[in-house]
Amino acid sequence: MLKYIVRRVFLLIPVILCVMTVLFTILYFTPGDPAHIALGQEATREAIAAFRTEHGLDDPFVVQLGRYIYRAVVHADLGYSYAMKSPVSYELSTRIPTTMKLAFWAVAFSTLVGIPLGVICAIRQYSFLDSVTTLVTLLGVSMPTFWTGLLLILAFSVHLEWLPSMGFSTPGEMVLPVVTLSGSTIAIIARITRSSMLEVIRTDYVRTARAKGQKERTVILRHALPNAMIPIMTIISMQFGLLLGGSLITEAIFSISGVGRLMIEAINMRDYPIIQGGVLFISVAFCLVNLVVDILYAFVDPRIHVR
Amino acid sequence: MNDAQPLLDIRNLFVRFHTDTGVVHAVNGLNLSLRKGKSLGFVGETGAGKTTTALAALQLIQSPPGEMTGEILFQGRDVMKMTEPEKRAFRGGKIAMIFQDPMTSLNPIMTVEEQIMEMVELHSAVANTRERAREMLTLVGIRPERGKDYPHQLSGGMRQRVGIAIALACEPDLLIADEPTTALDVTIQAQVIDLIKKLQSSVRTSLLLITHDLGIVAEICDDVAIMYAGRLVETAGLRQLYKKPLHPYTQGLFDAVPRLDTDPGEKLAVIPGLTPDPTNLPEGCSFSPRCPHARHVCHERSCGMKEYEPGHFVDCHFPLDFSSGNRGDGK
Repeated sequence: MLKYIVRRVFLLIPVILCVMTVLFTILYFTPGDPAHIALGQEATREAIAAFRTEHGLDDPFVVQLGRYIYRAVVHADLGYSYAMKSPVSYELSTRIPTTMKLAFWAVAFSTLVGIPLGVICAIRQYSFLDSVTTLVTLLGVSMPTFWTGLLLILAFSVHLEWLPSMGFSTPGEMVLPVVTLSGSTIAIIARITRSSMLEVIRTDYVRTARAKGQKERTVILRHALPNAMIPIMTIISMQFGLLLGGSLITEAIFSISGVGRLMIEAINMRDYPIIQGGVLFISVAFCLVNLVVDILYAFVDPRIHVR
Repeated sequence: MNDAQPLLDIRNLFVRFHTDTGVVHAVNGLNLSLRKGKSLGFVGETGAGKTTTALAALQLIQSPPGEMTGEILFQGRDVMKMTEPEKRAFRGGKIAMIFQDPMTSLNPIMTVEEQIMEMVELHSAVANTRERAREMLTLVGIRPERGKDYPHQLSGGMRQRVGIAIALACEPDLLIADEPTTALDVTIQAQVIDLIKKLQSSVRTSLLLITHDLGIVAEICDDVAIMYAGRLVETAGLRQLYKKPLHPYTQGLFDAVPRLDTDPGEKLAVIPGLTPDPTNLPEGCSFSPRCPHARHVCHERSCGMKEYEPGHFVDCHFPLDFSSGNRGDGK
């Protein structure tokens, strides 16, 4: 088991290095001189030349790439945002906790609702509840977040005046963004749970459990659900990774200053270092979530680590 | 309970499944009884409804789409009328089942001893369930320390032994073995059959052996029932039936067994045609479309079970070879 985990962790290193290289390369070849952006359009030739020398922008590509990776890995220095006049790592670190909080609660809420919903639908296949859920989850998957978000604000903030429509610090403020983000995630989790459970419920070992005289509840919770968990966990982790990358739209609608909004601002201002840092964060977050899920797989399914 | 009363008595059982393509008539008016302490071989082609009958006896037919009518008396009680908790106590505790495919019938994410322990916890008052599970493993010839293994770490034969250990852990009154050797290598088949035979006598359980292998039946069964298209066509004591198969279908089954004394390359005798489509059973005797001896009456109505000699029942208008060494019709 430990060997499995260590191997998975070591596999992350090349992946992250590759991501950094690709990111740096793309931005390196993107038109737009960082010196121009930093100093503004009116800067003199001399000033620009001085800036380029100072920041090593005239060095060969490989040298710059090496410097970028070295600084990022050793000093956690992701560069400097000239537009915001502060280090990228600082800007990110102030935003990441908010985004993590939003992503965590959205995933937690979706899981707590989605899995039981999917299980019930699978047990009572073709029942009224199943049909209604299928319909509602179809809506949930199809409705874009900006639309559900606006509808929720309209209903709960404007008309009912129950919940605030902005911010993300108090529990009250957290409700609407979390629910908005959860809409499609609940739907996806419920659907995957349903289909995965339907497959497992028909297996021979579930029949064996019933033939032992086990209670139906135990058959489902002890024999069927754990066996159905792998695809469910995969989907949850993918959703979590996506949400960590900043739920751009939801953050914009509810004026939450998370990674998503930071990225939008940076894109608008062509603030390449921030975009680079943000994308790197998203990639690393995705990798880490995948790592955690891979380790959880092994806990759920002994076939993965016991030979 | 007196000994004259059968342990399991299935009367006029019908099982149908309502599917998108029509109603599947899986079991059609089956009558079957199993004497206490005996073993009954339940023989028929794939799709004849053998497994469905066993699942019906355990009340494990999912409804919908399944639908059951008739009576299944176990120790004189109709299992169809039992409450859900009674059925649970009865499954595993009174009737246990060994399933056909050991590769898929064990839970892949539980250790094998946990799976045996689950059965023990449900149906016995044994305090140390782990101890009991290990005893069972030893009994079926697996080293008890292998109990900590998961099913994928065991071979097919070992998994089937685990299946047997689970089924016998609470000493059920009736053991249903559903083609316990079909998925196994020939060498392992013999071991598993010997094991079932040995344990059946030591645990003193009755046995319903579902198979299509007449050789295995000859080895362990006292009685034989031949099933075709959801109903019995012939039932008798082992010797009676092997000596004198009356139904043309039974005869066909025997002819289809490869023999060592035929010349190499010679074709096996096969029963022409296919088992009838269970959504669309033929009128009259269900075997009539394939029967080489079928006559007009066979296509109109089936004969119904008749006792041709004591203990030997057959459902055929013209049973083979009876009394004179000739067919009833004088061919």
